[in-house]
Amino acid sequence: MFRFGNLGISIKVLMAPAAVMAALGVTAYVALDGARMQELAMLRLQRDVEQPMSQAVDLRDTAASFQSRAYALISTSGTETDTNRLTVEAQSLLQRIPHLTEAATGLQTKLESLPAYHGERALIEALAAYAQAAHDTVDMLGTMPAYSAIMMNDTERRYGVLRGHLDALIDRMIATRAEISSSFVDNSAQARKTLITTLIIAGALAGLVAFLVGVMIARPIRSLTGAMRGIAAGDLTIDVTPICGRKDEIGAMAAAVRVFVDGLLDARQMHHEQETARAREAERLRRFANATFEGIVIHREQIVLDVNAALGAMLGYDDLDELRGRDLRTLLAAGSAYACSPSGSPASSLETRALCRDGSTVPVEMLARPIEFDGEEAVVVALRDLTEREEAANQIRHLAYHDALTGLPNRSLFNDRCKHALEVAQRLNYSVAILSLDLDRFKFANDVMGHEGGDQLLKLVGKRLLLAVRTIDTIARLGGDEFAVLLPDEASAETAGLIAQRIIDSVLKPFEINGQKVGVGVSVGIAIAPADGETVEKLLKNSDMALYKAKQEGRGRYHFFEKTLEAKDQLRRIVEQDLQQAITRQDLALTYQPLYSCETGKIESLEALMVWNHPIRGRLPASTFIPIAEETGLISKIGLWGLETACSHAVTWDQPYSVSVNLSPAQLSQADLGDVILDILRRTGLPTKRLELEVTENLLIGDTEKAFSFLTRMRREGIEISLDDFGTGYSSLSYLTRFPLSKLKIDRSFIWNLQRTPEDAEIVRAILAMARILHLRVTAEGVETDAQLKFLQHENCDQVQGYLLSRPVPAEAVNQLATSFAIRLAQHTLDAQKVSPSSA
Amino acid sequence: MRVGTRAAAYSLVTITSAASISPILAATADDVKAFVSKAMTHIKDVGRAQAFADFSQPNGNWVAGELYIFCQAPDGVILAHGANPALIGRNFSNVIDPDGKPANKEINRVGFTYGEGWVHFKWPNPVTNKVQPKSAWVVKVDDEAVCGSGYYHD
Repeated sequence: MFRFGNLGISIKVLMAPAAVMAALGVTAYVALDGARMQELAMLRLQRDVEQPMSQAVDLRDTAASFQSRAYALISTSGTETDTNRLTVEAQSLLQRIPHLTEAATGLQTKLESLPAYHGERALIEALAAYAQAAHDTVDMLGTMPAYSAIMMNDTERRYGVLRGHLDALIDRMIATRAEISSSFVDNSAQARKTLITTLIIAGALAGLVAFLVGVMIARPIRSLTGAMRGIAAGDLTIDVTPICGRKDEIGAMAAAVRVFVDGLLDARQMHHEQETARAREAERLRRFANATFEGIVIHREQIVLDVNAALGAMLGYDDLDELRGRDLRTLLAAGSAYACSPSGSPASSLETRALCRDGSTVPVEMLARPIEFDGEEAVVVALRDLTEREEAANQIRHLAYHDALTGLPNRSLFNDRCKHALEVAQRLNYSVAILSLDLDRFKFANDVMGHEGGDQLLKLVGKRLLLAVRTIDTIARLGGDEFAVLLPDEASAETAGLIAQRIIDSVLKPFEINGQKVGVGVSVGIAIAPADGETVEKLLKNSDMALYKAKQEGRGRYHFFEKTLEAKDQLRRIVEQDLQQAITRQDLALTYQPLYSCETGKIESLEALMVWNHPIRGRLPASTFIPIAEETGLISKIGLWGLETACSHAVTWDQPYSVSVNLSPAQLSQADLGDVILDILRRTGLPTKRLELEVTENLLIGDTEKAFSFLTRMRREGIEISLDDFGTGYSSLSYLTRFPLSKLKIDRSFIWNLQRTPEDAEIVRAILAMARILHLRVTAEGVETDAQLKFLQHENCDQVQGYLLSRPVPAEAVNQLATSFAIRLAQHTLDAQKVSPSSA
Repeated sequence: MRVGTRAAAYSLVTITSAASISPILAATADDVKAFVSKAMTHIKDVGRAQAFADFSQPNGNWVAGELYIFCQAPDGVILAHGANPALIGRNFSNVIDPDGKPANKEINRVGFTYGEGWVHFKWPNPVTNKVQPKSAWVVKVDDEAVCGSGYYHD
């Protein structure tokens, strides 16, 4: 019959882990399943969001940079006398078009593989149209620059469409990312719950088995233990025979106890003897060595007579006999000063390096003193280990010359090494290369992972970069996500390119931070001495410029410094400088175009339009310089100048017209913009209700949180907000309900087409109907014909603006404007009849 | 510069038509009309292909200061252009002027719908190399082309 008691202990004991293992197995499966789901979500995040998003962002950046370059080029073309140079610039800009279409093809392929983004065909078509128009526009610069200016309007329109599509796509991706992230949290909560449940079951099972084992096994073992305790106390008469009758291992153990008793006393005896001998020897050594922690050598005419254990330990000798009888000089590093010093001069002290058994050296301080040893004259030398002091000194040196986060050399060490390398290179007449590195999308990664995650990422990047360069190269962190590399030996352009590519490849693989995969790239700019500069500053500046170029060309690549880069940079700076001066020289001016009420025909407000009276280039409209101002950050200064000037003009008008001022999305980055605007109103004395801010959809798309709170505050203060160019961009209805707008301005292109295409008339009707429901007023821009005006009046549009009614006028002419368009129209008709009866 | 341009236009008109030139604005508009009508005769005389080639010589007989002949197909493709032959073959139907006017679409609409008419837009002046307001007289050649020319305002 089966009985549990007859089973071997090994089997009994095995049952406990088996049960627990089974439970743990279930737990592990649950955990793995949870991990797999997380991993799937992670993959999806990477594939469906991060990758296409970075492609879309890249595409947007490439297009934006192309557009702004084209603008800059066209705006300078009017005065550029050197047409050859213009042609060269245009050609180099045209070379960017393939990058644009390449980026688009990449994005298209990506989107086609993702069911969530089907239907982005419009985006790709918009890009193709933009690329074609941009190409034609820039191409024309070489032959007839004025045509480029004409064609740029179309290009700008297409660019707007493209931007709208891209921004919408990126918005959708951001939404998807949020969705996936929340599923992350759900998944892990579920997994954790299951895990805890299984762990509780496993614990309960383990407890139950432990109880059974206790009853069946622990009791007999306890009685055996009692017997053993007796034996240990010297009682050898204890009888273990009853337990010996058991059939299992406990029986066998009881039998073994008997055998053990016999050997016990012998073993104890032997152990005692060994201990005594060892203690005697230790005592003898201790007397000699323990007197000091320092290493001690006694020598006579350089021949070592005796040493202490501390010296053996210091130099790595286990057997002190190896040291006795040797020449003291063989224990010191080559060239060491002691060899030359008179042996045993009293209390002479010096610092030198001792030679270890393994060939390494230890910094030591040596003190010598004559003594009597075995009745004869000898010298005792004490050696103090200075390793710790040296390490501390090294540590201090390291801190001063290295970056605390990554441990890489810092800027000052990098500069030192570069200077040294340049001196050597100049003497030997060879070249040295300097590489500037900057991480791509680091800011994005930093935003996603937070500051600490960003620091960790920089550390990991530093490690990989260190592996990518050669041992003779210096890689330094200059600050932020900026690194630099010095190739000090005979560095040809080819070697520099090779190493740059290795650096780029080394960071391609995503980094893992807090279990999250993060992809960053790196762009590299290369400058080679002496061709690209002979000082460290010049070389770093030029490699930075090449780096900027590499970034512009699409990131994740390297670029050599070229002389033309320098020239281009200067050109850009000139426009920037001119613009700086324009503010101080008061070359900027505002003109005002009236907005009339459709119902009463009276002027309600005037839109302030900025022009730049350039000393050489003549009158430039806002569209030519505002993009540059936005790019260079001058926009906030220019924008505030415009606002303040418009407000101070408005208070001088005879009529209490409102004044509307355009606000660039870039201005929103100024944190205290709201305070500044209200301050301007207080200063100029213009009532808040007479100011209107015109914003574009881009402002609403950017940092929606910030835009929302800013606009809400402005509305609360009584300032009106109108949405400019409505209908051309993204035109999301959700903006209209979400943001506290007061007015829409229908884009001029719809008004222009009113009489031509019935669809546009329908769109205008629809916008008007919608605006009425949302309690928004509507202004129609670009009204140029009587028919357009009649249509808008018939459809109850609130306001009209356009050349038919009035062109923009200087601030001082506002008081001369007819207050109502009826008067103005009558005059216009008369004038028209007078001037050209033939064309009627 | 402006005076020189006008003078060039006047001399051309004096040679090609007998119209008298008294009020300046009307005269310029008439000059343009006469210039275009002369271009139409040239098309009839030498055939369309030859005529379009002649119109597109920037240093030829069909460019006088700011006045030049342009011709367009119904789809917006430029067929002849005296100021900038590089434009020939390009489709300009989507090009808009600084005020947002699709100038070339408008030229085709007026030309093909009404047979002839004035179109006003802003366009590069080949003499000043600046974008200026322009009034162009457009005449339909047949169902495949319209031709025109225009003068610039300040």
